[in-house]
Amino acid sequence: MDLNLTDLFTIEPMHGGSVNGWIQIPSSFTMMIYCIIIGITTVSAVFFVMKKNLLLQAFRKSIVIAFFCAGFLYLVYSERTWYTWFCEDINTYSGYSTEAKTGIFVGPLYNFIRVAREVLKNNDYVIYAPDDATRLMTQYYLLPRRNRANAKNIIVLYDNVVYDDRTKTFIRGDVRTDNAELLFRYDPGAYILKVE
Amino acid sequence: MLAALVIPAILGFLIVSILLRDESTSGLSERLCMAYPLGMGLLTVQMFLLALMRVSLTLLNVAIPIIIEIAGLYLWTVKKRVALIKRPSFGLFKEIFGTEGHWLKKISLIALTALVIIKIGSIFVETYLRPIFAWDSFANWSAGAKAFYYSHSLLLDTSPEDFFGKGLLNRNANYPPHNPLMQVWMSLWIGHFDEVFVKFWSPLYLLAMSVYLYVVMARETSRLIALSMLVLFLSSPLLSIHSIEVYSDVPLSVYILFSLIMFLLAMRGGYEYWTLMGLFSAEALFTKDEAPFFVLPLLLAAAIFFWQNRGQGTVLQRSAVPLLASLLLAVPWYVFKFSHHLGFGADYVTVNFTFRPEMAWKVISLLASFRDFNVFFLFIPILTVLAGRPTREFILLATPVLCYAMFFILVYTLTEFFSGSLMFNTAIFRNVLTYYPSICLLTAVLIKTIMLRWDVPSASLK
Repeated sequence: MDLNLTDLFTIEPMHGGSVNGWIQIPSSFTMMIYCIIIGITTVSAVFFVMKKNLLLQAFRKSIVIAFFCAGFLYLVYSERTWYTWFCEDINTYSGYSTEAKTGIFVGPLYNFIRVAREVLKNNDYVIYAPDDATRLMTQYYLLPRRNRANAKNIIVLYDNVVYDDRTKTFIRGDVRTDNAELLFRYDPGAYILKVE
Repeated sequence: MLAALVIPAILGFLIVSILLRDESTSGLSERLCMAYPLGMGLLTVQMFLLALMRVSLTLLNVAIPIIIEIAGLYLWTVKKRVALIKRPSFGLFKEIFGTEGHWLKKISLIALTALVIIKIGSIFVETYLRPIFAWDSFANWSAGAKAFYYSHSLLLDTSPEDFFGKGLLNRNANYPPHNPLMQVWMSLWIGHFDEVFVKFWSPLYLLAMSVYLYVVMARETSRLIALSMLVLFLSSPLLSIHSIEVYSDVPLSVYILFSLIMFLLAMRGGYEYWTLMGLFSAEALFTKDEAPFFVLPLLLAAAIFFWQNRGQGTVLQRSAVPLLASLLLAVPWYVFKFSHHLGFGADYVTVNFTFRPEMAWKVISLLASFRDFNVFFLFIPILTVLAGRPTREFILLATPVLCYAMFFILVYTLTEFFSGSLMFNTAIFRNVLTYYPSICLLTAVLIKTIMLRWDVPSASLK
């Protein structure tokens, strides 16, 4: 834990920009909770001892009080973050259909996927994308159509390939495929081919 | 979609009503809370069995057996005159609106109730707002669900690389299919795989768990303490996030908690609860691969309880037999799993042993940072020490949870994969989430013990 005493009283919000972000609590807040626990336990234990309680009894009572006080402090802190996320999501997603919400979540790639579903119909495909996230995300939204090495349809998503639509040749590395018909082009880097 | 949520709840409610027909401890709200997770678990096991028999998973094929079961169970309750609807007690509302009690307490109860309603309400709204968003939800649970739904099967008669949805994204075919089958069930009623509505079983698990946890904690302590603890419990950001997503950790945490509560009630003389304990344990086994490491210590604790009560002639017949019989619910999954050489955990996990005791310290420091679980994990050891000599009941109750937690610590310290290659913090917090509700319950039991010993330090509890 990185302890920075200077910002012990500066409560910065829980890290994580949205619901699907990482949750991190700054160490200053953790230290603050510990201070509250120690403070409340000590003060209430002294109070109960002065009220003629035995030390063990006083300690039992004060720890239960400290548990709830610290718990509620955490609650105020974490719920503030939760409701901030909640309000952001209301602004972002409310009033839309599931398709539109998915489009907002995935971004421009989903427009391509939507057309790809129509173009591919129920046929399988082979997908080429430089990064796993884009490739797997596309695969997920195209289910039940499957990514298969021997499929007749080729999806290219900004991968390092060459397609010449005049000669209908598709070249990826050392592999050259002839008779590749362009079915749909979303932009120069994203398109679907069908191999005859 | 409503039918998809209500039908399993009706099935579960009828089974709970029949099992608890001669029992008066559990009121209507408890029975309703048990009904939905129980029914959902039974439903997915049946879907699994249908798929194994190569019955196509269409709406008619799946729903008709369930509706026949519901009709049969209902006729049975009518014939045996089983009271289905017990009179609800409305204890909380009586306490708030009654003439007795301090005004400050009443205001506190109103405020806490409002906080609980707003929080759970926000989780339902958030579930409605977002489509499935987490990568591991796609890969581990929803890709399989989609493929199962569109193929009307579990893909058992395909090529080896596609078997049981193995080749889908990074899907782990080792995982039990409770979660994907719930999504299939939802999709069957919706008519297509809807990225928003297939998730709606998740917040209902949270709702059932929260209400039941509150009722049990209120019975152990007081309504004010129980509501306060519930509000603290619900403040966990990780719990909230998991409750709006199609993860399996919240359903598993519900089954673990409910098994534990059933064990508590069974130890207190409710013989009917042994069957429910077995059913919830079996459903935990059908939900995630970690479950055996809770269920086995739980059975060990039950065995110790039976041994301690062996003088009573009917104990084994009325307790152990229904407990073990209801565990048979999980047998088809394990037969399938072992017969197809499916392992435990994700299939990319490698088992190379190491010894890194410092990982245990890392777990402790992460839990002590209050990141995801409020202050529960800091206070439970302190409260345990302060409560004094633990009751036999508490020891038996805490043993399975402690063993389960220790299992994870052992995995983190003894395997290279979990101590090195894994996204360690994420894994720890997710694992802890599955026993976080049980920790909350144990905290309530400890607070009860401390309150009983408030002013009589030397008193021993019966």
